[in-house]
Amino acid sequence: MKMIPAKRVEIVIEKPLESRLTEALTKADVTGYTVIPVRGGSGRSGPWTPEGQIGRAGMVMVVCLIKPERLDALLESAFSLVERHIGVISVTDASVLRAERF
Amino acid sequence: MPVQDLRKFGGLNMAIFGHFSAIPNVCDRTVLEGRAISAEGYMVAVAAAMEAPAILSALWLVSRDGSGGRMEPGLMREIMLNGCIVLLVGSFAIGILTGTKGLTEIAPFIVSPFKGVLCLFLLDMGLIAGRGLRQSRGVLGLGAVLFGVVMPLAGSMIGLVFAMMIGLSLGGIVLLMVLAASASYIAVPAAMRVALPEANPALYLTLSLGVTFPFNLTLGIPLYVAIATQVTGG
Repeated sequence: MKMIPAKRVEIVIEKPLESRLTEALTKADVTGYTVIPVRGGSGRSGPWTPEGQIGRAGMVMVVCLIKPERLDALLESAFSLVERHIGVISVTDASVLRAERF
Repeated sequence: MPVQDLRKFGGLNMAIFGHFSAIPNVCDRTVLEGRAISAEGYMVAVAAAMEAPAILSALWLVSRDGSGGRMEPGLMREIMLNGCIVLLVGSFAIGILTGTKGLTEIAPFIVSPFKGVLCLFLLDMGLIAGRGLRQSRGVLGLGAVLFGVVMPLAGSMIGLVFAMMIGLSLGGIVLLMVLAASASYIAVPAAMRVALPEANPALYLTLSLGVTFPFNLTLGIPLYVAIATQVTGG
């Protein structure tokens, strides 16, 4: 089957910023993304879990697949949001089917 | 502590304690009903009116020197139209439109199970507060804990003064004292994570949910009722 190279971008960010991030992705011409709830983790601020938190608290991971030529625009848009907040952006190489959808 | 950090810390606490918590307010109403103390019906609208000003004034305070507290596009809309405000205003509209007849029709669903649901909710909140305290162990120092107790007391006294100035009933005075004494742990922390990400959420969340919230429910409300009764002559 014919596959094309793509970039898989994973952004872990605080839940209150989820809508801002997805808006930023849409503005960067990302055709689709998936939001995954995060159950816990550990970082520079120490370990954390959703226990003891209510409302719009916690973290989410937004995953999207894009063509390599759009990566820079997406990273600029996403980083401007993540820069001041708790979050991680990672990029890995991927291959995707149905190139017309990305 | 540098002046800029003091301003951020002060602004953050302004938002947290200037806002209100719905649960102590609801519990307070239940206590008043149990003691046959009536209150002005519009105090619910007062609670709704307290939603936005605290957050907005806090952001103004910390943004004055340009060091933090950005009012991002869309944040104003989120503050003014968050779920709590929309639900409260919507409830007002429904109550006005349907009147007493409407309430009577849904009373078995809304009124009768209220205390039982409140008990379950408070138990769940206790679990959440306990887990939050355990997870944030070491974040709060003695000074912060004392602040979490002293601030609601100070807020309640300010509420008492203003309530008496505007001539509220005993029940209205108590409600305003509780509103002034409570601290936010849902709406404000979410707004502050967007506008003031430099602030440590473990600190202010643990303060409002782990210290002020249980203090108000256990000791605060009975104390505020007793003070208001004493001051007004019952």
